[in-house]
Amino acid sequence: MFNTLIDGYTQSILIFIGINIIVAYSFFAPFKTGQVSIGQAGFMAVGAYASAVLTQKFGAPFIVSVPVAGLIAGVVGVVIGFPALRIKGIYLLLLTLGFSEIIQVIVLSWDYVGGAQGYRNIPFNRHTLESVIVVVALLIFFFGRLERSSLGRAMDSIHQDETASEVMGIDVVRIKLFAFGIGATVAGIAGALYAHQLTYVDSTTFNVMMSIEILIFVVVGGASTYWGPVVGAVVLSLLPELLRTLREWLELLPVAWTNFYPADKIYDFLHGFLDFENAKRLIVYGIILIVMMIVRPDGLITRDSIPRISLKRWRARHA
Amino acid sequence: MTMLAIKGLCSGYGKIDVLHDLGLDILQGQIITLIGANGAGKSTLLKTISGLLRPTAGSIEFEGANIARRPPYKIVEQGISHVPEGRAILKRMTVLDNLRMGAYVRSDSEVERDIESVLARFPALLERRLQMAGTLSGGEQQMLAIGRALVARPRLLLLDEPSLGLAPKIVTQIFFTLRELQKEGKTILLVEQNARQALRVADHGYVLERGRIIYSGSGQELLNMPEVQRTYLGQSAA
Amino acid sequence: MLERTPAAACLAIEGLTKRFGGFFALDNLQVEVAAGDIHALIGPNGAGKTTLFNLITGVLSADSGRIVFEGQPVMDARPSKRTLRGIARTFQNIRLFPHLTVLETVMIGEHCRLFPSLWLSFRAAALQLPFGEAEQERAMRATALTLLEFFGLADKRDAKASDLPYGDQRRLEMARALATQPRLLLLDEPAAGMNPHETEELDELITRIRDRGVTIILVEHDMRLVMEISDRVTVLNFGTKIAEGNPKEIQSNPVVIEAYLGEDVQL
Repeated sequence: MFNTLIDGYTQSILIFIGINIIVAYSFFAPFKTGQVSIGQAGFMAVGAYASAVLTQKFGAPFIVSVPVAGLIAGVVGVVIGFPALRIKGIYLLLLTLGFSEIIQVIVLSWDYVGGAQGYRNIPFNRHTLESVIVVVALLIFFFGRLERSSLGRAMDSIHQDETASEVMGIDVVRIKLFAFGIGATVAGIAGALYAHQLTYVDSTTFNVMMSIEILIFVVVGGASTYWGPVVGAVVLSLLPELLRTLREWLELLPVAWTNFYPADKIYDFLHGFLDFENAKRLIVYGIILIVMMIVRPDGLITRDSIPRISLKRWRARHA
Repeated sequence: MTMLAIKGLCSGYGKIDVLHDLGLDILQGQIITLIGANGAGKSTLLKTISGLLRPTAGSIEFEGANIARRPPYKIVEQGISHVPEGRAILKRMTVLDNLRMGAYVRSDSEVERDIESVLARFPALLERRLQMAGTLSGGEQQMLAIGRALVARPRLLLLDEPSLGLAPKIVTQIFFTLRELQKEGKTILLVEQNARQALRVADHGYVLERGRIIYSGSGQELLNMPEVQRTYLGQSAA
Repeated sequence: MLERTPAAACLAIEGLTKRFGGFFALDNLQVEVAAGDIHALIGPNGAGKTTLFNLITGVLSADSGRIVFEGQPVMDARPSKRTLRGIARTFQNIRLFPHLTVLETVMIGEHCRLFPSLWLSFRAAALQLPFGEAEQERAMRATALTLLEFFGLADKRDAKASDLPYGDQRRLEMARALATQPRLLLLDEPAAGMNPHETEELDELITRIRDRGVTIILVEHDMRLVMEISDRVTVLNFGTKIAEGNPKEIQSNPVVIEAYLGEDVQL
């Protein structure tokens, strides 16, 4: 649908941002109950491979394969969620990390999904952008509702104090599993959409760095409210574009200004630094993270940043 | 009518049992006080009743039903509310939200009214209902914890050291509130280090030592028992 | 009983104010603690007692006012420096190191006296022979054992701190504080969680600590303990002093009864 309106390059950027929003929510869901997972890339991989197989080898349409892939990832999530119930802190991090690594090894050694050569010729989805937009809208709606619901408050209270929550009659076990499973499902859907955009995935695509980036999206954006993941994902996804634009501006400087020492060294340094490939992205993320933790540790968006728009109150004020 | 009947209860943490073959009965409408040294197993007993801990042996019957191995949230639904030591309130939520969370297991329409009656009972909470629970003083937090437990409309209330760290005036208030709750028909199981006041307000009391009940009697009987006075009440016993 | 020199103020708090946003935790507080006294600080929750302790030990810094310890202001010193000057404290909710043994816990208290600077402790560690114990270690161990005997914990020296019963944990915390050789000891609700009999044992222990030459400031809700052992009582409410005097005076002071004790209190 958008193919006529927006050029391919911009489309792929929007898809990239959209998928990042989706994975940010996949981290947000278990985090709301206090479970920190750096294994979401593993669930993405499960979703990606599941959808690839369903479409390529079983001829399923995308509209079926993507949700089913998400559900498969969700089931895996609940399975991993059981041992995760009793583990806290750094040990949970290690569990989720270990899970992610295991998925990578499985994928590497399983020839059915391409083995070491990776999975090629995954069907390309011309409607990825529409799908991403729909999923993002659904997630914002769902998590917005969740935040205002009793279940959402129960999840927050589990995060704060599990014992207190238990004595209030909150089924901590079920809710934690639920949160973990939702996170995995959402990650699986993101992975599936990602696969049908890239058309090629292998065992290195969904690595630990991706899981950590996902964490950074939410931490920077703000983990206390449902707009945080969106803001974090958008800001950090646009960063490469921003830096590239800066680099282009830099190149516009007249040569005469930067011909001499030390200007030429500074120019070279900035120019190289703004060359935003994968490796440097993490340096910049790292700097942002440090600055954020000092200046605004709760993230860019907190509960107070959102104006409470309420029809009743508007009427009361303007009556 | 027997509300809670415990028989042969063994429970503890990991492989170590703290409670050994413990048995006691609570009749409906009573205030029962449990006293004993630290480490005797008083908190362990409450946690086992409320489901936070699983017993290794024995039975716990609440109004006839065996609740011994049920998960905590089911036990709350049955009508038992536990206020753990250290209050276990949600510090980053407001007073009002804490009370709403207390009603989590209820879906009927009377919840708001019950919250209002809790706020009426504790005016300090009414004043601070929109404040973060973590900013309340110790006494106010204790009142919030009790109020939170009350909103679940329990028939049995388990209180673990409600007077801990509180000013004398507030402690008196709390015991007064417990008497009132009893008049309203609630049954209360109270664990307390403030043995004297707790036995004074109790209908019946148990003394726990090393996971076993060594003395049982009415509040007054225990207050007058020389062994109890010597070990738990100190020289200046009333 | 030590003789009290009338003018020897161990600690002087002058015009101390601490705000948290718009809320005055302490408002122009003026208190003097005489050397060799057991001085109790009582008041409702939120009255500012713990804040005062935090200010004296340096965990928080005041907005205005002075804290003078043994004639010298302490305002600029970091908490660790204040311990070196001779101020020690225990905590309301016991903060022990769960995995250290009883003996090790007390020895940690000694560390700051023997090694007031990083260089000294590093040198001692570096110069230590691979086998056998340095002279200093042995001395530290001996001092620690003596202290444990004073507190009745010597036979539990190898037990893990977290395995001790509650009453012993409280005493271990006091032992650790005493190992820093303080001249002023701040006890934060030492009787919390103890039954009346255990609290009576505390009477004797705290008095014996004072008799070793340590001035004690005591925050407590257990009125029997306070009235029994205190030389002087200061009553705080809403960050200011509402009454001060000896225990008998305070007990019958109507302002104190209204704000804190309540009518029903039987001691």
